[in-house]
Amino acid sequence: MYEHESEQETALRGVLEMELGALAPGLAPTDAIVAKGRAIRRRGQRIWSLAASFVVVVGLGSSLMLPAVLRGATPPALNAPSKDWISVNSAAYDEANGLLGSGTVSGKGWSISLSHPPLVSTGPAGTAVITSLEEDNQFTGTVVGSGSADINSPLYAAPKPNLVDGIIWFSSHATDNPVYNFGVGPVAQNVGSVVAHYANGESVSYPATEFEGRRFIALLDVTTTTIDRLTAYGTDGAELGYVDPFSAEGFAPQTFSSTWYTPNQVPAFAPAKVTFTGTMVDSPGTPWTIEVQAGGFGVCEYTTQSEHFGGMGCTPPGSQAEKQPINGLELGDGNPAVIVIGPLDPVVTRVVATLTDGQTVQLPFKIIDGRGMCADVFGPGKALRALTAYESNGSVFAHQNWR
Amino acid sequence: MKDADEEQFREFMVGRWPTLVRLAYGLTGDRGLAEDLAQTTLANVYASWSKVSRASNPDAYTFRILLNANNGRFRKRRVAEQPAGAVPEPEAQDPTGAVDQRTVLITALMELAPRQRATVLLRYFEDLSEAQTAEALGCSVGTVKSQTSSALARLRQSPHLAEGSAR
Repeated sequence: MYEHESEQETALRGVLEMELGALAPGLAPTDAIVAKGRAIRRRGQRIWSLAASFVVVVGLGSSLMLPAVLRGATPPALNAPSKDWISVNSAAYDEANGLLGSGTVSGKGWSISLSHPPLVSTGPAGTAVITSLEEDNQFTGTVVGSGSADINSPLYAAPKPNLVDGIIWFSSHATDNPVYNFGVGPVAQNVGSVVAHYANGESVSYPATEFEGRRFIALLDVTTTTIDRLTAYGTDGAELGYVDPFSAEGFAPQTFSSTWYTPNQVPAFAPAKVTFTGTMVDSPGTPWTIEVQAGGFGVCEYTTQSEHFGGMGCTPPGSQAEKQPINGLELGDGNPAVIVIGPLDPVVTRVVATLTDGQTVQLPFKIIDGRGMCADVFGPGKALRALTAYESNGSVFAHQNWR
Repeated sequence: MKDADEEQFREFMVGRWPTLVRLAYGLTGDRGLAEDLAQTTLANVYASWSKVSRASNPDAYTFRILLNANNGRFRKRRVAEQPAGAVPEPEAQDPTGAVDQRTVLITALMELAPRQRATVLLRYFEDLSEAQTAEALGCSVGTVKSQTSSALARLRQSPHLAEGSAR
């Protein structure tokens, strides 16, 4: 159920998804549409030519008033950050000492640095290893986090067209309110800055800096909002491209394998979302919700029900997982068992789960981006043993033992 | 249109086609009309591709074109209704039975005013926020709220939905 949404609204979403989502349109008559579109354009151009002399005057006048922000030319002027929001102090950046990010958030200082020289020597010879993020005494719950990643791994190669890739995230304490995610990751050599556009309307520009011959950005995500878009600008200020990562409140954005678009390119994937809801059998009255989103990042699912019942997973486009006959994962600690299956082959219309106690259950099935998804929650003591996917004519498409 | 732009439009068209047909079906209650409406929408999107592709939200822009095309369908029909000199013959009673095959949901949606129907579909099928719905409908967020509230009240009273849920 969506926040502040009535039962009627939730039910309406379900019915609309079931009725309209089940409609399987044929292929788009692409050539006919283009021909019709060309005819409309020609008609429009004839009308336009009649009004041309008027347009020249207005156009000149308008161009004088246009703000000096042209897409694809220079990074846009960003709104001044509101109080309690993220600010960046690029003057404090210190490449020689690995300080790749610095500023304030909610009035407290933040900084992100890479170790230099590497403090941990367990990586392959010659690699630099990210060992820790700078602790900040002014920040609630001082220890921000630590981790390591091999920046020589293919994940960090930042191949074209991915301008930013392989960001690793470190969270502040779970008791912080809000929780901040601090990310650091490599960018392509020609990236000068990355602007994060947050769902609350704020935008923050993060400069790229160099560390041991590679360029990185350090950026922040706040769990009370999401990053809707990352736009990369070149060292000359020209827009290079953008990505719309999977981003849900409470989870760090997933930029891995997301589709990058050139500055004026329209996303090839229409964003879509379906919601599974139910009530736990063994905990009467406890509802659960699992959200599934599809977009340029592939298909991602997440749930935040309780400490045992939470997590997220993504199936990037073209990934090995996507090519499995039955792709699925368990979220949470398995008690209760939270399973999400899909995206499935378009011919699959039904999935039956066999549980460890021998019970068989037909899983709730919804269509997203033309492919089926299933999600369900089984009470404590029950777990998934096998899955069988069926086509509409009843034949078995695939069977897979789970454990 | 340049080749690269046309290629981009074709990707957009193929990706949005199912969504637009489904939305149009919810608006019209007729699958044939829905496909026509989706075609008309995408043809208009093609004609305005330079604007649509630069829009901050190309999908909201496209939905707006679809809703305008649907409204235009009503306008054209009204214009076509000329006073007749004689009382026309009553229409045949849907020999195909197509209306009977409509789901209770579609029947209930058709009872809503076009604007309410569009609001419900954008909010609860396309999962648009109130602000995005307002952008697609070209109205204020307040109007979206009031239209949603009226539509939900009307759907609660729909005998079709009550029947359907009782089954």
